[in-house]
Amino acid sequence: MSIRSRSVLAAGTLIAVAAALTGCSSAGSPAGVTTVTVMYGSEEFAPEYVEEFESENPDIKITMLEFDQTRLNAMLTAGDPPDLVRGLPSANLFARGLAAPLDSYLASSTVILESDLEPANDLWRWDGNTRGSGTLYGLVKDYSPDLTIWQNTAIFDAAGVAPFSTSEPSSWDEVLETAEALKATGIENPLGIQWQWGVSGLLQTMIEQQGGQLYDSSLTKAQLNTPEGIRAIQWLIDYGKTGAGPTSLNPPATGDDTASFVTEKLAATMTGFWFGGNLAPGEDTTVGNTAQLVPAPTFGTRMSPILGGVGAWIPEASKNKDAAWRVMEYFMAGKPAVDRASSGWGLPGLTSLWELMPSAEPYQVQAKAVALDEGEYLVTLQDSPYINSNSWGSFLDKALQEAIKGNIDAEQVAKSVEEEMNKLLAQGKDQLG
Amino acid sequence: MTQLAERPSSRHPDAAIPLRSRRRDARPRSDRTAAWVYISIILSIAVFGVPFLYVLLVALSTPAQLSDGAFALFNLSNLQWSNFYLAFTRIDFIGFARTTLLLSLIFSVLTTASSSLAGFAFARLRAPGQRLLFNIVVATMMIPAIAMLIPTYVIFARLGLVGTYWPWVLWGLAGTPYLIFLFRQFFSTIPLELEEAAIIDGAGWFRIYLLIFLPLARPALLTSFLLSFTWTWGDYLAPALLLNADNTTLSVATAAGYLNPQGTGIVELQAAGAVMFLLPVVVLFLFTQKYFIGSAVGSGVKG
Amino acid sequence: MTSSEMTSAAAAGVTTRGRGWRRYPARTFYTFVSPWILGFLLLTLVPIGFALVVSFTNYDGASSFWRFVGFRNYVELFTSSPSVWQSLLRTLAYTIIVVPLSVAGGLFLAVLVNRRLRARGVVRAIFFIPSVIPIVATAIMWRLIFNRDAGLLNGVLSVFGVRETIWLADPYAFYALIVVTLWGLGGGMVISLAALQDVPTELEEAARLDGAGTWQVMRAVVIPMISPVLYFQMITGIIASLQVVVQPLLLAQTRTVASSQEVPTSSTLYMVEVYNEFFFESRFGFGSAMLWVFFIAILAITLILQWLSRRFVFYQVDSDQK
Repeated sequence: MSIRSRSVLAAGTLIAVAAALTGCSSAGSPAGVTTVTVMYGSEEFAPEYVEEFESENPDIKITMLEFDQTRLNAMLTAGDPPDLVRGLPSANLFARGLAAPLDSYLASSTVILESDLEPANDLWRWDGNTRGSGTLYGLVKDYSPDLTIWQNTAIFDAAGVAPFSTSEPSSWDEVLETAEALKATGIENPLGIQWQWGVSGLLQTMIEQQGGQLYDSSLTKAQLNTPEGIRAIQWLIDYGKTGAGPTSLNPPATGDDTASFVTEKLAATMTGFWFGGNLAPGEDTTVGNTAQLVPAPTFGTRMSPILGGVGAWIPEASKNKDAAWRVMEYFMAGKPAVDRASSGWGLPGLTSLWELMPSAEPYQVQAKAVALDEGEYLVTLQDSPYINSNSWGSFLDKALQEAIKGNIDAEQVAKSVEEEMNKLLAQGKDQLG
Repeated sequence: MTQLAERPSSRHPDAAIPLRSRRRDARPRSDRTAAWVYISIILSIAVFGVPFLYVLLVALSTPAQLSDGAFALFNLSNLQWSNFYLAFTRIDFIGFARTTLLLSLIFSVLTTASSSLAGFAFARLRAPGQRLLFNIVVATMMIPAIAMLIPTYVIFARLGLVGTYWPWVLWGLAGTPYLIFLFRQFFSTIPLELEEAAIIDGAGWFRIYLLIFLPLARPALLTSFLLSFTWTWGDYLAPALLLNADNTTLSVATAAGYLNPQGTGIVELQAAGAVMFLLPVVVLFLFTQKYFIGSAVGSGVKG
Repeated sequence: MTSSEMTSAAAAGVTTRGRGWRRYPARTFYTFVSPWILGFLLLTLVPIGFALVVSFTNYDGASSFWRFVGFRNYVELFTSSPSVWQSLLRTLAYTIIVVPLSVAGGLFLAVLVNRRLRARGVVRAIFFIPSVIPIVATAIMWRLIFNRDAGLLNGVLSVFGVRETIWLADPYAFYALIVVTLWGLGGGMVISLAALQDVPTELEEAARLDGAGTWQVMRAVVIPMISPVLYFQMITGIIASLQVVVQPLLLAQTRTVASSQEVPTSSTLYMVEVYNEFFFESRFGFGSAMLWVFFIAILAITLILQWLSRRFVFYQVDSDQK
């Protein structure tokens, strides 16, 4: 091959490559169009929603990113975060100034009205000290009283054990006793509490129900080595030891309780209202006929917290906040929200959408009634800005595993987790000053 | 000692390809040794080959079989070839495959070009500071690339290159230390006479590189191309950090796709996806075996 | 090609048709390696420098709440970070187990395959292919085998009455990781194979004539002859093993891609811990300090190995052949 044709070939390749690259790069949009980067799960923010939004709002184009914590952190570091992010409300996030305040957007919005917001949205409020009041930093996409229990009365009846009351909360001790009774009749894993998703929220709720608090008033020290804390930890250890249900030592085969409950191998699962979405009648699914939602158990004061509060927030460093808010409005009040409400997969974050909730099946009606009732006992759990609940949740899990295996006792768990938390809190305090 | 004299010089341009005629004729000492050898071989084949068979079995199974346990999978009466179709359509398999192909080609072509150029320079050109630079090349091989990824990401982000394919262009142009090393070793073995003649004819170094050394380096070039291609094809961390959901590679798509509404992975689809994902590499390998194997010789690790 | 020969050619006044590069090998050299140099500066040196600077701060990666804290991160690393040291120990244990086994295993396979077998190419391919297939595919395959309910391992073991074990959780996750890594030792096999074929047969035959058995021939003749290759494999193996992070992440996947927090303790290697610090604890300063300690440790290990090699590795020809 002569030199000349070789250079031509080389030049041609470079041009082709460059063309391919510019064609494939997502940089730049035509004038007048703002590109909003949304980091969400594509199962929840489906492509057809993207299409619909873009056709209704021709001046906004959406780039979808699959939610990934690592990627999100990397983008925040680079100073180029997505414009709308799926996430959980966390004081740490708010205190670091990463989320943009939404009060002014809310005030001037015609689609989302402040009066229409369910109290659950208060999880996204932070005033520098207490979660639940103050500036609004995000909105819930839907919610669920997470400690309510779904029970399959058919299994209870067959085992001769009284099911939980649907009007009054049982106590946690009763719950454990019932699970043990069911187990004695031969059911292997009667009660699931979705351990694999973390039990730190459950632990905190139990402490608060007894009148205690997880953090002290300065939010810089953890208080686990207290009677309330130890009682809660002991409950978890007993739960694991009696084998009442799957734990991280013994996880469910399919990753969560859904398959077991739907195929009627599990008598009860503490997963919260949203789980009901799984019970829609299908060809083999008859569990809906005998399923009921039961109020959240308690150790004292009746409380039914929302442990999650998954929603969306807009990063402060975003350059397209106005456009991102419009996407937010669509997602929280437009077709996606309507679809979510009517699917029965969660309680809508806007009161006006409650009437869309499904009520075809008796269990749906019953569950909705219980959920409404539980709403009066909704509590925002205390949150410290100096710590991230993910960090200590896995530490707690590992300590509990040791305790369940019998290597340490509840007090040791309390001490070691408290120590770890205090270390993290100190680091956080040092960071935020 | 005629064998020593006839032993092909490692300077031979085709040194990269194992020469069959030189293979030692290892007759088994005794039947007992032969038996052990064959048993070892068969066991090893089982160990190395079983995962492939198993993933294929899982890819062809139903969820019911999966919850029943491993032996239920051997029931071949109900092969779910549809799983492959589902795996193919549930994510935009073709699109991701195309992206992965593009990135792999970009990177492997560019890095082969750049590394061979640098390798040639280290092998045939003298310059002050050359020793130091080569030591740096070798030292860079030791730096954990994974550790570099996070700070490198920040740089790319500030340059606005996240979500584009430019990082791979830049990484390609920069060359790969291992390949530079490979080419340097390879080019060192080419006799001096070839380039001396060209120099006397007045050729510039670039021409010497292009017209004399590159053609001789075909095996090394192919090896470099193949290694960097398969490496990019299978890379996970870089595309996970740098690319978006719609323009990422198969690596990320197969790992993170195939989820049911709860977010749990659908095992049989993951298996099917994995099979389809690794098949091109296997096919490529089968056709180009000697170049992969040649990389071992060409690296000239003797020195 | 010595510079004197080049200058004499130039001095002879030979006219050039091409550019005058031949007279400036140094300039050509630098032109040719410039892409690499630029890449090294931008893509290696700058990130490393960035990491060094950050390691002296308590930067959290995103917010503006940070300041310089001097050596505090390093002090903390060395005095009050049990999790970091545990991950380091695990990584060392992992490396000490995996590298010798890989090199020896690769050599063993190479010896096996280095015979006049039928279907030799097929056998060699089966051993080698696992080392080139994408890592995601490998992870998916082995996750399946180790799966508690549908996995092959539990299935086979149940025949022997062994209870269902969760291989991908503590304490077995460490061993699962090792198995997955060792599955790729075919890469080393190929390198050893090439080296074996370069061992002159007459040396072996001479040894056998002197009455040496197979093992003695290996020990006294073959292994010394291929020791540079083995040494090379060891060094690259050690460096690669110390930085492993993708396999633990992918093996731990239960739902979406595993976050580094979901990796079981026993397979939380050093780099996994680094990722934890960066992305879950948001402690970029501390994580960068961990990286720098790591860089220095690798440097130290490499230097030690170089020194050892001079004592144990037999080079047939001088390494500075030019």
